[in-house]
This record gives sequence, structure tokens and C-alpha cells, in this order.
Amino acid sequence: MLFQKSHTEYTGKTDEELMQLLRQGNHDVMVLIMRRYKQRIITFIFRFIGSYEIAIDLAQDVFVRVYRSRDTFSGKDKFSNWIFTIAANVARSEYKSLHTQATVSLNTIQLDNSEDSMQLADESYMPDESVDTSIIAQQIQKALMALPASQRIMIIMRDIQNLSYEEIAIIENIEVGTVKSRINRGRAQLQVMLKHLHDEIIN
Amino acid sequence: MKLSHTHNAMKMEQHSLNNVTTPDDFEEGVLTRTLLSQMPLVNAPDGFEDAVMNGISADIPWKKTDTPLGQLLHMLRYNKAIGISAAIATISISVWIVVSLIPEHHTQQIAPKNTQVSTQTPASMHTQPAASLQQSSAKQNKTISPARQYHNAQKMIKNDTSPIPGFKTESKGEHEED
Repeated sequence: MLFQKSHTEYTGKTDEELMQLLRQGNHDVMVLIMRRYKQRIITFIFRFIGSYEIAIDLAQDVFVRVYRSRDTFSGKDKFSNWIFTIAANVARSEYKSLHTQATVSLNTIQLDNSEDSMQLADESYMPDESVDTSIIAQQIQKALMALPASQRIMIIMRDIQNLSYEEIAIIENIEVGTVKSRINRGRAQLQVMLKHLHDEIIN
Repeated sequence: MKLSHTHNAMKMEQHSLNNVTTPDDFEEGVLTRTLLSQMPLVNAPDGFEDAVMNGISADIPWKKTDTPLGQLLHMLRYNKAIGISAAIATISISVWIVVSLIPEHHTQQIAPKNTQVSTQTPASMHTQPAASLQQSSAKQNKTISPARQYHNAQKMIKNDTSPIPGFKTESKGEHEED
């Protein structure tokens, strides 16, 4: 009862105001923060990792980290940038550990600018049919997973999450030019991979 | 979401990036982005929020809303009026208990002292006169002359009417027969 009452009380507040309340010790606003962001965070992680179960676990981890790091959030920053930074770090870390465990054929390796193992593309990915019910969505997800991780994460942020280049630059802590460049290259690769899909749609 | 609007916006952005060479590529690029933007959002399973709240409950002091005690403490914490009232009541009761305990404690502390004194005093009184009596009798013995001592002893024998063990006491009847 108290929970529901507090939710209606805080509905009109901004994310930053909710974080301020959380920092002051009002733990109930955490539920409201989750309700606002859970779908976006789960979608973001799922599109990057490709597994629904792992995405759920990681999204929960993201919110636990949000709670535990609440004192490090300064009210001057935009909350969405902050939570996406956490989500990106969590997802990247998990992807890296999954990728180092998996045996990757040398033929499937695509290198980006750096020689980090994060740049490896996963072409052996099988779409999760429980989430992507349509064939088009499955093919797009498969194409996304075939992109190098550094390009994929930015394409997801820009084209699926609708974040601006500036926001992505803040989240990734890189220059806006680098963001645009990686997104361009990612889109170009996606375009090639999805050419058959374009033909089917147009015809 | 209006597809045409999104499509136009994407066309503008794609054009500004200026990385396409042919009109076909341009159209395909826009279509790719349109498809990406229409990818379905992924829903959270039931109990997602509860799982997170359980995860962080260890960090929250007294965050056990399932238990009546947890709910009470939660209510006291977040309802200022009730919380302050409860705090004042608790302090008042504590002060009252302490105040009511202090005199009792005092009497308990004083009482043993009294008993100690009362028990000790007769003992000391008993021992002291005994010593003084012994001392005084010794003094008397020292001052009385041997002749006086003999006289006193004779006097004591005469006064002593108790029967001497081993001797028959003379009865009145026997005395009359003689």
C-alpha cells in the first residue's frame, strides 16, 4: 500500500529528481526508475548480446549497480546517459567473457581499428525466436551480431535506442567524430548483409 | 510513429553523413535504418522488479517489507509524523524507566551497607568487651593478694549448694530417722 502511494507521488518527477530521492534514502523510487528504463535496458542488452536470458540477468545487474552507485551520480549529468554507460559496460564485459570462452574460427574474425578481442564478430549466432518472432527481425538481429562489437553497440544506441551522437559520445567517452565514423561503417556492413532483405521488401 | 517522418529524417541524416555514392546505396541505407528503428522492444519477464529489489534488499537497512516488523520500521522511517512521535514516545518511556529504576537501585546499594554495619557492630561490640573484661579480670587477679584469693575461694565453696558427684546427698527423711 505504501509502495503504490509513493509511486503516484513521484510519477511527475524527472529521472534526476528520482535519483536525488534515492540518494536521500528513499529506496522505493528504485521501482519507478526500473519501470521507466527496464524495457530500454533489456532491449539494448539483448540486441548487443543476443540472448534473452543473459539480457535479463544483465539488466537486473544494471539496476543493482544503479542502486549501489547512486552516490556517484551527480545531479548535473543526464540520468539516461549514466544508466546507459553502466549498461554498456556491463554488456561489454559479459560479451567479452562469453567471447573468450567460445571457440572462434579465424575465418570469422573481423578487425576494427583496435586489435581488442571486443572487435570480434559473432557470425555463429542463432536468433532467439521467442523474442524476435518475425523472420525479418531475426535476420536483422543476426546481421547485428555479425558486426564488430564496437560498431554494433553504437548502431543499437543510435538506430534502435534513438540516442544522439553527442549522447553516445558521452556514454562511450569518445569523440563525436569517432562515434559517427563507427556508426557509418557499421551501417555500411549491415547494408551489405541485409541486401537480400531489401530486395525482398522492394520486390 | 509516423514512418514517413522518420524516413525523411533518416534520409536527411544519411545525406549529411555523405558516405553514399549511388542512389541505390542511399535508399538501402535508409531502409536499413528504418528496419532497425522498427525492431521490437524486448519486454521484461514477470517479477523482474522484485528480483532486483531482492538483490538490493541486503543493502537496505530493515528493508524486509514482507515481515510485519519490516513494514513497521519502513513506515516509521518514511512517515515523518509517525516516526517522530514514535521516537519521542520511545525516549519518554526510556527516561521514565531509568528514573523509576534509579531510587530502587540506590536503596539496593545503601541497604547492604546498613546490614553490613548492623551485623558488624554487634560482633565488634561483642569481641571488644570480651577482651576488655579479660583485661580487667587479669588486672584484678594481679592486684588481689593470695590471702584475699583464698578467702574468696572459701566463700564460693560455702555458697555453692550443688551436689558433689560421687557423694550421696543427705535427704530430710534419713536425717529425721537418725
